[in-house]
Amino acid sequence: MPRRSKARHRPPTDRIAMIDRFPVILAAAGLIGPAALAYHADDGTRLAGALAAGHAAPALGCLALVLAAGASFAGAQRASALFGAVGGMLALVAMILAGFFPALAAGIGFADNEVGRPIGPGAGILALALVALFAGAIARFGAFRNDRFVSVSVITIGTLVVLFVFWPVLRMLSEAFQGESEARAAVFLDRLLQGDIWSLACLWSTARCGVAPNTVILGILAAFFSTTLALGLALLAVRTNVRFPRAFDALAILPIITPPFVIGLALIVLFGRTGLVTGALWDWFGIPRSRWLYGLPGVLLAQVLSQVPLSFLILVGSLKALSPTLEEAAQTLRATRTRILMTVTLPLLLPAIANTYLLAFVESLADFGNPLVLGGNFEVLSTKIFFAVVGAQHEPGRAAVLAMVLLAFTLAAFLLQMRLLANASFVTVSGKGDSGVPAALPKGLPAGLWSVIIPWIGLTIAVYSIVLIGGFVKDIGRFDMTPTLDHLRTGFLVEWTDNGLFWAGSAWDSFWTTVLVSAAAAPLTAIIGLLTAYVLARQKFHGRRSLEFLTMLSFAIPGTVIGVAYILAFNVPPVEITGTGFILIACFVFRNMPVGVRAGIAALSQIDPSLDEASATLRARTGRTLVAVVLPLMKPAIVATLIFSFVHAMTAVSAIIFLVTARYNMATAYIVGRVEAGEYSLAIAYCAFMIVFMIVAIATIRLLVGEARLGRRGSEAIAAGGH
Amino acid sequence: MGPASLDFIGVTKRYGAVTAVDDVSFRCEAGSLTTLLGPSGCGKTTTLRMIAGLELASEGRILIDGKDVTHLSAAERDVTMVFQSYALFPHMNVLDNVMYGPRSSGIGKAQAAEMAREKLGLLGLSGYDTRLPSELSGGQQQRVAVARALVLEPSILLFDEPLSNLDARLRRKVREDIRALQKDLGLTVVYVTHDQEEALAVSDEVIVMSNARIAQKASPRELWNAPANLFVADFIGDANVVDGTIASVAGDTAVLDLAGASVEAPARGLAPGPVKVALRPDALRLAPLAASDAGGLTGTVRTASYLGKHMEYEIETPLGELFVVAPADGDEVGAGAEVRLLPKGHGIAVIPQ
Ligand SMILES: Nc1ncnc2c1ncn2[C@@H]1O[C@H](COP(=O)(O)OP(=O)(O)OP(=O)(O)O)[C@@H](O)[C@H]1O
Ligand SMILES: [Mg+2]
Repeated sequence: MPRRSKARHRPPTDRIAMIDRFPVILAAAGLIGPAALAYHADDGTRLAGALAAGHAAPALGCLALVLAAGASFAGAQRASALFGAVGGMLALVAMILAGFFPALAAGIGFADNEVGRPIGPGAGILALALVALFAGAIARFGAFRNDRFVSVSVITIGTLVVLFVFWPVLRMLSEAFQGESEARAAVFLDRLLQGDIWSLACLWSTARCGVAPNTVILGILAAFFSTTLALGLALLAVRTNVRFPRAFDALAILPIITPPFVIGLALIVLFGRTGLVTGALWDWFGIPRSRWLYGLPGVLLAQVLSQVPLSFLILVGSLKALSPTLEEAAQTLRATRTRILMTVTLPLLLPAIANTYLLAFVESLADFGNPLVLGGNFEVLSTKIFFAVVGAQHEPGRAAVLAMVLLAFTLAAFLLQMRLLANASFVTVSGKGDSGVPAALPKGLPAGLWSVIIPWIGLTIAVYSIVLIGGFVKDIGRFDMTPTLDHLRTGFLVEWTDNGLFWAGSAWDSFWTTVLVSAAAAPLTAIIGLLTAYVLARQKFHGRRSLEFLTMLSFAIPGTVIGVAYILAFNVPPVEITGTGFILIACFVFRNMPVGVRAGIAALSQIDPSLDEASATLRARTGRTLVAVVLPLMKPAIVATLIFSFVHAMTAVSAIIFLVTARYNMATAYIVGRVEAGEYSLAIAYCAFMIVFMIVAIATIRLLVGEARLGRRGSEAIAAGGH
Repeated sequence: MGPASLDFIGVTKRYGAVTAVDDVSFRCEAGSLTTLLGPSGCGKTTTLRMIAGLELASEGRILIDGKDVTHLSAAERDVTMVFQSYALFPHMNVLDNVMYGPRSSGIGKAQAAEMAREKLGLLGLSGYDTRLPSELSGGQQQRVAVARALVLEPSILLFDEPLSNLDARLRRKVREDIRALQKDLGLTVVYVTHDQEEALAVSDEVIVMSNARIAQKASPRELWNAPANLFVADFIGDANVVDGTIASVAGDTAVLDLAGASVEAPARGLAPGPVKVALRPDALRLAPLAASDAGGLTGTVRTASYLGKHMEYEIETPLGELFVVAPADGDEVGAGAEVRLLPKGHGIAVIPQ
């Protein structure tokens, strides 16, 4: 007889007969939540009150949870699953009816009034518990290949994305059709076909163009210039033997951590009517002061300045990934350097260039801060939307139509980009490091590139110097360079009083709100984004493509559009959360989630799927596989997502400018307020303070999450191919 | 509980329009080593993954030890697998890798470590506990992967081309080690390879697959001597498949007429008449044309290649072009020579249709 160890451990099949804690935990959460927190937000009724009032939804919900948990306790797993699936479904339908179709619900006795009531946090917890209960139960009946973890993840994420992305946009679209008149289509067409949206008059006369042509022209120009400059910079960095100083890497990250309108602000300080350069030009050369900066040129300059570093990073990556073998092959075929560049290198790079271009185009369309600060009379869709909502004549319907136009543009660019990436497979990035020497650039090209790039780098440095020193001199706008801490003190004074620290500075409120909201949003974004990436990349299930599309969709929705959609969707029942911190967090989580999804999918494509499979054959359920095997190998993606979502939440303007309130003011909104009041120095000082804070925060996140420990040949071991 | 038997009953796996495994049924006895052998894309890996539960069958049933596991996930089946890429967790050291299975099954840390050390010892890997996989040689990594798969003492152990990342010399040793381990521990093993020598060397039974179906399931010896069909005859051992006639049958032996030459082969229950015949490359002996013992076939050597321990010839004969292997013992002939081919008395099989 062969040797066998004494204890045989056979957990597998009989697990099903054990008590299943899952419904029990959900029942506990789903009952305690609304018992302790408000079920209805308007009068603070808790679960007991709602049950006593005879509402059907909470009653059904409690019943489903209690029955499922009870059956699980009794060891009747199939009964528990049945209660979970059917009961959970019925309760959710009742909640949806009562929440979204109050008139209908009141008609059949499901709700007590016909306008509906806002749900409180307790009801939110109950709803989430029911969604999870339902998802877990249907996995028992074969959904999602019996995998409860996948089922619960997919259905929960799907529900949240529908609620916080799909529904607000849908709500906004319907707003576009609502007006005085009953003829919906007429109302919509009347709003859509306005001259100030579509006019092309500026092409042949001095009259102004509509916002739509303005926006598109700006986008095309910004994308063209930023991509061209970034490509030149990338060629110089990768294909010449110039050692770019390490500081260059830092320069590349700066725009990511600067609030979007800061560059515009610095440009005003440099080139505005009273700007430093403008003044110098007048003093020394007699060039008259002008307002050229305010309008298309200024906005364009600011957008290109902020976009180039990102485009540069993408293009450098693609350029490095090009296998030199191809260029070597061309060289052996007697191609000249110019010919190689034109016929091999650039065509192979074309998908990356097009991708960069479209990305810059979408960024330009979505940009709100720079047009607000620098636009002058040059209006674009994002600013027009803003003024339609907050302006004197509050016109949500008109804002919704403008938002639809903007959304149509970005969606078109986004779909084009998706198609492009899908067809770009011939850019082979093989895991094996092809050795070989890339072809040198044609003679004369580097010199030509340098002559453009050096002034550009100079300008970038000047802009950031303004941002960094502007807050610490008396009045940079008037070139009064006496060093002072006055501005910092106005914003960030901290005093010792008898009662301890006193945050006396005027900026502290908005600063701490921003930090708290961002710090709450970042981990949530990482969890939802990476979990979505995992189920999308590693699991097969029906509706995978729809989920992928939905998550990617929110990538293409400009912040201004989301802002409008959120105030329209969330200042009425059932999810009435405008004016709370929660809406800010939700906004950040679902806006930044696609970045987590992309980073996660990219990281997962580097991890051999047989690692997951090995884990599964070793008795690990999907959840454990994720925690013990996949996540530790995804640390770089986790860090990237945490940093990105934190920083983006700190610096975002476009969406949250609609959502902030006096109680929950955000740093960027506060700074925009200062700019509008002409207090440039305080605004710049605040920006500098934030930049320093974010650098510290990034270092802390890196330190906390750490790097994956894989040993000296680590990368090979992960990437070791499957079949 | 010891090793278990495995049954496939009418199992089909489809990926969209592609049928990767088509209505396959077979049985592996408890404690046996079965190989899945076949050309690329014939469905071997897919079959193996369905045993593991990494793919769920589109149709049919899978039984382990008589129990239906068709709908159980990988984590719920008592089956482990050694992956082609080994799939060692790169961020865990050797001991943690091997402990992973017991820990996932809820066994305490101390006991899991003890179980892991026992299996590591069995595979000669004591003392490597704290190394990371990236700090091991390919052969050592492979043994860690085997230890990790063994530690749960699974009912069935699967190997997907376990030798393909090893160099030729190590391959022979490791395949002997795997076979010895399987026999010592009495494991049920299913083993995928596309190397027929490897399959013949280690298996109790070989399942030859072709186009998502089973072409033949037999012991290595039977597969060689009695191929069930043209595909197997052709795929195993480079046989020459030619047209012949069964002239007469006496008991178990048939007398064949191959283009006038008369040879004997096992009858395999066939009646006289036309038949396809598999001639192994080493079934024929080369003799000078002038030799007195007439019979056999005459032919002209087209090519002759010297491979050190033997010669390979392509010879034009009335049966068509034949591939013949002969010892390189000094009697080699060159291209253009006229030769006589004489049967050696083995390596010829009729193929039932
Ligand atoms: N996930 C998949 N989606 C679609 N088709 C697949 C998938 N996996 C395998 N196939 C197809 O199923 C068939 C069988 O594949 P399988 O991997 O089982 O072949 P194999 O016998 O292991 O081949 P090899 O020896 O090359 O590894 C192939 O035609 C393959 O293209
Ligand atoms: Mg295979």
